[in-house]
Amino acid sequence: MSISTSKGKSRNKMWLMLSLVAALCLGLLSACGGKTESGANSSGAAVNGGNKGTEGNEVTLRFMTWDSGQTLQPYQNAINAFMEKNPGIKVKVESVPDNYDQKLLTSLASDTAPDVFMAWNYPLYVPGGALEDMQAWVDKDNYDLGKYYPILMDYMKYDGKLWGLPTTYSTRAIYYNKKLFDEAGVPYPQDGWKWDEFVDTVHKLTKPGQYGFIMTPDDVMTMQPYVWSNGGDMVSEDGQTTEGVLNSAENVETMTFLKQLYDASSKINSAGKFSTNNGLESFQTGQIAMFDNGMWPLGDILKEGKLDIGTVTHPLPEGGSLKGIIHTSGYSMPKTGKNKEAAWELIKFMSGEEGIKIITANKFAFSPVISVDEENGYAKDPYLEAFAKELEGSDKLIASMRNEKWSEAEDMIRAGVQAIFYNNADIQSTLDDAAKQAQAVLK
Amino acid sequence: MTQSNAGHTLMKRSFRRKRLRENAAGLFFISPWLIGFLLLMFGPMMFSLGISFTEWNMVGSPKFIGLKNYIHMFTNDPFYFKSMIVTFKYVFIMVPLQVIFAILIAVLLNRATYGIKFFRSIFYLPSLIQGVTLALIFSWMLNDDFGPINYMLELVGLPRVHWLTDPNVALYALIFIALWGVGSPMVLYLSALRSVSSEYYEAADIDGAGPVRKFFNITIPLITPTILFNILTSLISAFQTIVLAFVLTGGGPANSTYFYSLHVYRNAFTHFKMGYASAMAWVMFILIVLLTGLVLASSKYWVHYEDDGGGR
Repeated sequence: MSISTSKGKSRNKMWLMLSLVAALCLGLLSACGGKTESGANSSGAAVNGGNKGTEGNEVTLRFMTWDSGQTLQPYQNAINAFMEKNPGIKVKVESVPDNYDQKLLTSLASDTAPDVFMAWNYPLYVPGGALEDMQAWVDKDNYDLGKYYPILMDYMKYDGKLWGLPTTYSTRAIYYNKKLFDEAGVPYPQDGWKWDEFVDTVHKLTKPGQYGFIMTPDDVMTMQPYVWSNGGDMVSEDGQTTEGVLNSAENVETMTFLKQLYDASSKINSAGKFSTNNGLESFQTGQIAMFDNGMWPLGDILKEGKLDIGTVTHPLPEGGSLKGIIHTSGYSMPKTGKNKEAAWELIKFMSGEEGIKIITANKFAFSPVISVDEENGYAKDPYLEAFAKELEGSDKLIASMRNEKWSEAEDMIRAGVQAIFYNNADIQSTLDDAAKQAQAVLK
Repeated sequence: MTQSNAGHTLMKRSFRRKRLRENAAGLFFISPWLIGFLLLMFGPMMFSLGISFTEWNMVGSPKFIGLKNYIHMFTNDPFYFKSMIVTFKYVFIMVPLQVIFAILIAVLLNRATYGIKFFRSIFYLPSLIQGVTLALIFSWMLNDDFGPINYMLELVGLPRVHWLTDPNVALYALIFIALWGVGSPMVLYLSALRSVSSEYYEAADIDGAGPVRKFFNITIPLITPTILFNILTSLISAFQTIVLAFVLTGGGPANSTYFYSLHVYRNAFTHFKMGYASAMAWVMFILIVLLTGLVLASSKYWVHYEDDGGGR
C-alpha cells in the first residue's frame, strides 16, 4: 500500500494530515499517561532529620511489608498501638505482597525507599550501601540485644554489621493428616523418628490420587534441615566454598534419602505445582498426607476445623541430631531516610516487648524476644511444640545469608537435584559437578 | 552511483523532492508511534545497552566491566545454551506448525459454501483469550489429577499424561497451548485467499490441473506475502515468549521449558544482575534482527507479488 499524494501542493491536505496526526498523538498520550508511581516520596524535605515528632510538627513514616490481608493485621495492630503512644508520628502502611525485593531495590536505588521496611535477604541489599547500619542506633540508646535469641541475631547481620532488628520467626516442621493415617492403619509419627521410618510411612500413605508427601527437587532451601542433621552443609561457614562441602559423603547419604523420599511419594507430582506453600491446598483437601511448612498456615487450618492434624519434627538420620531451619526477617531503614529518629522509635517498638506481644498474639508467630516467647507459652502448645523443638537445636545460618550470590549457586544445585530425582543421575558425580559450578559462581 | 551529466542530476533532484513529499506523508502518519517509540522505548533501550557493560544490582552505582558480561554468557553460564536450545526448539516447532494449521483452516473455511461467517468467528474466538488468562485456563485443563484432558484420556482407556510435569512433555504442551492463538493468522490467510482471483483456477481447470496441483501451484504462491508477514511476526514473538512458561511451569520441570526470556528475567529479578540480564537481552535482540533479516532476504526467492509477475 502506498499513499498517493496529489502532485500539487494541497494545503488543505496538509492541514488535514496535521490535525489527524495531532489527534492520534493526543490519544496516544492520554493512553500512556496518568499512571504515576506511588513510590514518590511523600514526606517533603521540610521535615528535618532530627525530628522525633514530639515538637509540634507531625512526622509521617512509611512502613513497607510483604504481608497483606490477614497476615498484615497483627502488624497493623502494633502500629496502631505505636501511634497512640506517639501522637506526633503517623505511620502509613504499604503492603507489597508480590515482587517485594524488586520494589524495595528500585525504591532504594531511586531514593524513595520507605522509612521502615521489612527485609530478610540482607546479602542482596547490603552490598549496594543503601541500608542504614543499625549498630549506631543500638549503641546510642544502649538498646539491649540480649533479649533476643542469639541465632536470630545472626540473621540480622551480614558482613559483620547489624542491619535490622528481628520481626518474628518461624521454624519448619512436618504437618500430618490424622484421618489419612487412621485410614491406612499407620501409627502417627513421633518426634525423633528416623529417615527410613519417614520413607516407609510415605510409601504406605501413597496410593492413586493421594500422595504421602511432596518432595520436589525445586525447593533447595528446605532441604537444609536434612543436610544439617546428618552433619553436612551446603556451603562453608563463610559462604565461600562449596567444593568439598556440598559434595561431602554425608550429603551423598542425605541426597540418597531424599531421592528415596521422592520415589516413594510421587515420581512426578503436580500437587504442589499450582498451589502456594508446597501444596497447602492439596493438604487441606486430603490429597497429601504430610507436608513440610512453617507455622503460618496453622491458625487457618485449625480455625476451619475440618482437618484433624498433628505436627512432628523433621525425621532424623541414624545418629543425627535435630537442626531446624529458621524463617525470620528484620525491620530496617534506608541510609538516606529523612525521618531516622522517628523510624528508630517505630523499629524499637515493633521489635521490642510491647509490639512483639501484640504481633504474636493468637499463635500468629513465635516471638524473637525470649521473655515474650516464654510468656506466650507456645512451646507447650500441642501443635507448636514441634516448631519450638526445631529451634532448640538450630545453630546454622541458611546458605543464602552467607553469600550474596547464593541464589545463583542454588540454581546450579537445583539443576543437579533435578537430574538426580528425574533422571536417576549418579548422586556423587552430580553433586561433584554442582559443587564445581556453584563454586565458579561464588568465587 | 555516480551521475554523468547535469540533466540527469536535475531530474533526479525533482524526483527526490517528490519522493520526500511522499515520505513525509508516510512519516506524518506513523509519527504518533515514532514519538512514542522515542520517548518510551528508545531511551530505556540505550540505557540497557549502557548497563550491559557494567555490573549492577540496582542499588549503588553500576561498575564498568567492559565485555565481561558478554564473555560470561558464552563461556561460564551453564544455563545459557540450555535456555537457548529450549527457545530455538520452541520457535522452530511452533512457527511452522502455526503457519500450516492457519493455512489449512483458512483453506477449509474458504471452501465452505455457507456458514463461513459463523465458522470464521468460531475459529477466531479462541485467539481472543491470550497471555496469563490462557495460561491459567490450561493449567487446569492439563492438570494431572483433575484436568478434563486427562479425564478424557482415561475414559478412552489411555494412560494419563503428565502434561506440565514431565520434562519430556512440558515443552510440547506449551507449543500446543501457543497454537491456541492460531485464529489471528487464520483470518489473515482467509482474507488473502478471498482475494485470489478465480480466473487462475479456471485457467488451471482448462489445463487439467488437479486440486493438489492447484493448491501448491496457485493458492500457496499467491498467499506467500501473507505467509511472509505471518512468519516474521510469529518468529519475533516466539523468541520472546515468556508468559506461558512463567505462569505454568516456571521454567521447569528440570529446566525443560527454561526459555531464554526466563533466564533473562531470573538474572534480572532473582539474582539482580541487571548488567548481565541486559547483555543477554541485547544478544537476543541482535539474534532476532539477524533472523528476521535472513527471512526477508530469502523472501525474494519464494514470495510472489501479483504485480511483478512472480519473483523479484
